[in-house]
Amino acid sequence: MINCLYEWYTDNSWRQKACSATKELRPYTGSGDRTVARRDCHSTARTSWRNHVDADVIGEIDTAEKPYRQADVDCRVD
Amino acid sequence: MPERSVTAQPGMVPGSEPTAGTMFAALYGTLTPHPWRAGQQDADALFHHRCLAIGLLDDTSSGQPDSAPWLWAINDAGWQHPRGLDTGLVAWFQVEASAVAGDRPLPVQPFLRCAQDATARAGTLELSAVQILLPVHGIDPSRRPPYAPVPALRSVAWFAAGDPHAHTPVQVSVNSGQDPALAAVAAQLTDQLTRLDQTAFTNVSHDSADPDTAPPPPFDDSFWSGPPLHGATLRGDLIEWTCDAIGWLAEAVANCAARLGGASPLLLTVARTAGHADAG
Repeated sequence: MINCLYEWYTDNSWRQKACSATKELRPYTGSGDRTVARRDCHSTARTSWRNHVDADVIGEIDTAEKPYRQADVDCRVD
Repeated sequence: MPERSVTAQPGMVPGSEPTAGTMFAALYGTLTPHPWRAGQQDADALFHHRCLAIGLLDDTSSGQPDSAPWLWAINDAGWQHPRGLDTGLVAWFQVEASAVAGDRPLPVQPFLRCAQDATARAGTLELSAVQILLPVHGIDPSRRPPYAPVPALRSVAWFAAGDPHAHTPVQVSVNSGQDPALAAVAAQLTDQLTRLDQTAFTNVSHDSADPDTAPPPPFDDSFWSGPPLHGATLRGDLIEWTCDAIGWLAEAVANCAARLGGASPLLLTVARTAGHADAG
């Protein structure tokens, strides 16, 4: 499992700004398995971000689908 | 791969739903892990599920057609200090608050309720202080209807039914970071809180010589308009030492600060100066 952060640019592109390390997660146990991608903000200007998750299910053929979550956050990386 | 413009700048997707801004809560004190918990429970997962359970989470960004807009979207949470400092921090929670309706307060009470519930699932919490980043810039006082100029007042009667002996003296630090505006209106802020028709926070006083003993915020200065340079310290009696009452006070302070022209995030720290009751 890996997740990456993408910042929206005014040319309508999403540009990758950080990715987590690849991590093998157990089925959900509530015990705290997750991947984390972080970047420090350069300013607090409101900016659109997407967090893409790419899961590779062990022992199964993966689909190309990469689920994402999108949010506007007071964090801008130049 | 499409060619990218070298002049393009980071920004917001056109047509984005407006949000109020980042809310951050830091709980200070001691957390004694429950003996039945083997290993560490993930703060983010506990917080996420608690918010879902009581219907507060904005899940629209998941792209599901039937998801409903709610009070916030979750960014992250944790038990350790993000910068590795030893400040008595036991848990922190970060959300993006949805746009605030005209007759509703910034949802600090439900935010702290979820945060406290998630923390109590991991252990027994003895709360000494709560620090909250309030997106005051997300509050538009001109949208307040006549029946709710200070929306937090609509829920204050809840506290009147509590234990009359639960009053707790507290120190309230309010800081606007590099923006000097808050310090300039500290007296008016105190006056507005005093004039509100409420009994949740009483005997309010402000002394400009009162030192700010709030712990440094657990996030980087770039996260808001830090460092915390300009602020005011208030003292008063909180009707009970609970996250609910602290959340109510934060909602009232945020609203009053917005009415006084505040347009920057505020860092609010509420610490008890003498203990009477357990958080709950």
